[in-house]
Amino acid sequence: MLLRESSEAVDQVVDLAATTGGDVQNVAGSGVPHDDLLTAYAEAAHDGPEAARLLDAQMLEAVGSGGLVDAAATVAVFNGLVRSADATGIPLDEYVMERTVDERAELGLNVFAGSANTRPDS
Amino acid sequence: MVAFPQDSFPHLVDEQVLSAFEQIWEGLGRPGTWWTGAQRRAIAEAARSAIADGPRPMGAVIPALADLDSEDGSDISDLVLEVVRRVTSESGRITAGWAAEAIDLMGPGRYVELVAVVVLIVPVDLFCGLMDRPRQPLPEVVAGEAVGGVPRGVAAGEAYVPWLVDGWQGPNVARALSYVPADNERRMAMVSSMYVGSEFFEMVWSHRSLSRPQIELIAARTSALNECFY
Repeated sequence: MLLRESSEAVDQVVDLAATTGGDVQNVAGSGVPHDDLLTAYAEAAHDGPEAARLLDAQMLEAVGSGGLVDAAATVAVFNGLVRSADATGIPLDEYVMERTVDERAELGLNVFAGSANTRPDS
Repeated sequence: MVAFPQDSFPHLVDEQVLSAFEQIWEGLGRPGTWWTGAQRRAIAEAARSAIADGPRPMGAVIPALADLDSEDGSDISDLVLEVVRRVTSESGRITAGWAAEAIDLMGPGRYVELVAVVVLIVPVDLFCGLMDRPRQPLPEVVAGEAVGGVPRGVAAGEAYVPWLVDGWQGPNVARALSYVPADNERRMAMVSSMYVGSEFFEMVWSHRSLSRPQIELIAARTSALNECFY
């Protein structure tokens, strides 16, 4: 959930709806480069590696071999992190809580079962 | 023998990632803190099956944990199989009540180490699949008993499981599995190599081919698809 902060750090503005299935809307051409493709890659990978590999050619053209490996590594490691978080019931960190109150409400993340592990008044 | 040589991947993979994978495979079949090597391997096999099966449809009849056989011999019990399945393919449905029952039936050490084995093998298998590399065969089992022991500084806190409490300053996800320090160390080495490096609080990254916003976009979409609040 540090997408907004890291985008702002490089003067990009991003519509967070992309993270829950909406479209990323770049402002004045300053959005996340290749956002549609990267989101599609994450979604395909959720269906299985075979589905994601169908996007390999596009990924290689857009972000190169290093970018493809980075994308695969990110999807893979977050599939471990989400299971760690959900199975152990860890609450959101204060650092993230303070910065994502509006975003969590805006994106409807508070309906996820894991939201019960974080103080409701945060 | 190296399990994950560079030339087994079609693209150049960071040496730190390969090293993290080697550490994970090295530990997977060895006796852990709460499970034997054979049981850890059985948990890993069950996790692979759960990934293959996918989540059960909403409304499917799921057995109550308390009704399942909980005797773990050289293999793992029906209770453990059910917990592996939930953690692996239905983790977004885990509630505090379900986790409390599982921990009550299995004990915190076995529960946390089970979670650790699952979250070690799932990313490795997925990364290999995304790289169009065959899944790595599970390592041979190393004989021996689980060593046991609760780490110092671990206590009940805000999570479902006991975790490091005294003076902790890192992100919660880094201490989520601190009840089993050896596996948690392997896990965090993997997380560091595949995601954050040593620059979590730096908003501009130079150690990846993708920019941080690109990586965070993929990460956030992956978390949302898994219905993960954290």
